[in-house]
Parts: sequence; C-alpha cells; structure tokens
Amino acid sequence: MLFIKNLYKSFGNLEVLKGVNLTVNKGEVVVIIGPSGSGKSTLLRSINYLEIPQSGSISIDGIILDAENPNSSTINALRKSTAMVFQSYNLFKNRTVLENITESLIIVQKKSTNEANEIAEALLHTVGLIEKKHQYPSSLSGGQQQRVAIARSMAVNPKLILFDEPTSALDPELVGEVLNVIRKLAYEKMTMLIVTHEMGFAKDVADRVIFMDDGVFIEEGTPKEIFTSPQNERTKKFLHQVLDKI
Amino acid sequence: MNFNIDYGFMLQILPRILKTLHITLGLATMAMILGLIIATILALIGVFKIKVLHPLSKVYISFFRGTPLLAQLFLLYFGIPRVLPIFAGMNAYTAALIGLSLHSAAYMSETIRGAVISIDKGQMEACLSVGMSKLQGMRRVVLPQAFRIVVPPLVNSFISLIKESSLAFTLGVAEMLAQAKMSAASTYQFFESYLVVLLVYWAIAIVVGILQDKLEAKLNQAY
Repeated sequence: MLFIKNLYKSFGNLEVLKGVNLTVNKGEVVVIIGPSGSGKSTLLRSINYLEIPQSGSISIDGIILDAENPNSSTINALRKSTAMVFQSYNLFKNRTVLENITESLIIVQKKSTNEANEIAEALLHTVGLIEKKHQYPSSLSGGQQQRVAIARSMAVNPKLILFDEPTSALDPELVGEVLNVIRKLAYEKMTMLIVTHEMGFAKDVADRVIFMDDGVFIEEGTPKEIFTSPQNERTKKFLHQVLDKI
Repeated sequence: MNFNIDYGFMLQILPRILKTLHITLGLATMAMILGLIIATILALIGVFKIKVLHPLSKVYISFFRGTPLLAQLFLLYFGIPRVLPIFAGMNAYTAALIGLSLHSAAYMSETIRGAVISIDKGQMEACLSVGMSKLQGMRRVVLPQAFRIVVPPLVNSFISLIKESSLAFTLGVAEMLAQAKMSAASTYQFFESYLVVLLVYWAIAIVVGILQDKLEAKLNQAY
C-alpha cells in the first residue's frame, strides 16, 4: 500500500535520509524506533510532504510522487490519503474540539455541516471526549488534546495514519490514555506508521519493528525478533540503553 | 502672566468643531480600511517571500516609514498632478485619504507580518496534513489567530491615523484642526481653540480604547 523507494533528504550539508526503502501493507502497524536525530521524524514528515525530499519516490495506492519531479496535485492527493498526528498535537487553537474535526470534512471533503458534525461526534465517542466537544483546545489536558488530534486525523479518512512521537510531549500519567486509543485503531486494522520511544507499546502493538539510525534502516523484524534477539550491534546497543533506563 | 481661560468661548466653539468630527473620523476610518487591505497584501507577500513582489514591497515599506508623512502628502497633492495629469482633478480630501492609507499600510504590514510569523508553524502543518491548501490554512486558521495578536498594535495605528488626519488641513481639508485654527485666527483666542480640539482628539482616543478592550475580551475567549 505504501511504497517508499530510495528516499533521500538532506538539510544543507547534513544528510538525514540516505536512501530509505519501506513497504507498508494494508492493515499493518509498523513502528520505527531509533535514537534522536536518526531521521525517523523526517521520514514520516516526508510522506506527508511537510519535509521536501530531494530524490526517491513515495507511492500510496497508485498515487506516485517522484521527489525530483513533484507536482502540486500529487502532493495534494498524497496529503489527502494520509493523516498526521504530531508530537505537539497542533490542534487549531481558534477552533473548538468539534470544529477541529469538522474543519477538513467541510473544507476539504465538502461535506455539509450536519454530516460533518455527525461524523465528528462519532469520532469523539471513539476517543472518549464527546463531553468536551464545545471546549477550546487550551482548556484540555495534553492527553485529551492528542486524543482529539487522533480523531481529527481519522476524519480525513486516511489510508494511512502517521504518528510522529505522539506521546513524547505528554506527562507520564497521560501517556496511557493516548496509547489506548492508538491500540484501539490497531485492533480495527487501521494502517499505521508510528515513530515512538515507548518500547513496551511498540512490542505490544507493532506487526513489524524497524530500527533506524543515521538515516538508514539498520534492522527490521517482528517485535519478538527485534526486542529479544536483535542481530545488529547498533540495535543491541540502542535497546540496551533505552531498556536499561526503565 | 495672564492665565484667564475663557470657558464660555470654549463651550461656544465646541459644537463648531464637532461639526467637522465626521470628516476627521471618516478620513481616519477610510484610511484604516484601505490601509489594512494594502497592509495584509504586503504582509502576505513578505510571509511567502513571493518573487519580484517581495523586494518591491520592502522598498515600499522602507520609503513610507522612512520619510515624513507631511512631505508625502505634499508630494502627492501638489507634486504628482504636475507629472501625471490624470491626477490633476484630485481634490484635497482624496489626496489626504490616499496618502494616509499608503503611509499607515507600511506600518501595519510589518505588524501583521510579525503576527503571522509568530503563529506556531505546527498550525499550518496541521492544516496541510488534513489536506487543506496553504491559502485555506492561512485564511481559516493562521490569520484568525494572528488577528488576535494584531488588535492592540492595530488600534494604536488607528489612533495614530485619527491624529495624523489633522495633517490634511495643510492640504485645505476642512477637518477638526482646520476648524480650530479658524476659530483661533478670527478671535485670537489661540489657547482655548487649540485646547478644545485637543480634548476632542483625546476623548476619541479614550472611546477607541474602550472599544478595544471589549474586542480583545471577545477574541480571547478561546485562549
């Protein structure tokens, strides 16, 4: 469903993605782990074209974006078939919880206000925040804001949801409620690509885990393979450091 | 020292000065609206760094901020019609309106640009990620948030415009200051005449300030 071929991206002289190849199948949950600065977030943001890759290609269900030859209709189609959940939630601050979700339904998908409200309310039930629908983001906790952001991403009706460290900005006691919502999506066979530092969650929810370092994929496999018997030295070292902390 | 203030005279000329209030307020309000439109366009050119237009807008802003308004008005009213005959029929009020609009736009565009770039970049990214275009994101999410930030400095600009509209009297527009000057010249009661007109300007600024507080309270609801 998602095919990334030989994706390359640099910021000035700093090479961040050095030829990344990735395939994600429909209904699959792929978790990318790795140290800070390894290019995980940049990869995710490139898929939504929030970062502009220099070469390689990204294709989702027949929409093919050639990084050396991007055109705006392909970029738009790519963005409409994916949705992004950000580390810092990025809810529209000038819109209520309900309006945050209806915005794309009305503006992008051209649905009527009534229909958009119905969809948004159903999504708010899913993330357990229907009673907050008329509040503004600033009055919500981080965990609640992130759950609204997940509902907003689902409203796009995406083929793939990209999670960019969705719990990294949260207080520890709020991480669980967000992970539970993502877990729920995994059970419903939503295709997801997740960058996270929550190793327990990765073990639990992933169909496949990829360890990334220095702009390339070092190792990939089932959670069991990666977490209990990693083959590569760098993977071993990273897991050792991360898991030791706990 | 002779310090007898003729309060009776002040009350007597107040209605005459207030009769020209609509010219002052009309000039300032129209210049504010036109100035805001030009300023928003200039600000967006600056935010998106649009080719060719961006350096031109910088020259525009630099010129109108770097030269005196009074000299700009003189050039516009007395100078331009000499070289561009189509402006020969331009009356003083129109010239003052154009001059004030162009001048205030230069200041306000910088205010608006600053407010727009102060909005967290994640807001626009979120718009793009749900499939909105840059323009839709600007119009529906970024600009409304920037508007809240920009209200206090824009109200300042409006108060400045009300005061600067008094320069129109030098072109022969019969606004409030011109009326006060006439009263002063015909009676030699300079102190009272100019004091009255200053108090009127001050009162307007106070009223505008009260309206600003109300608007800000409304805009801050979401935060």
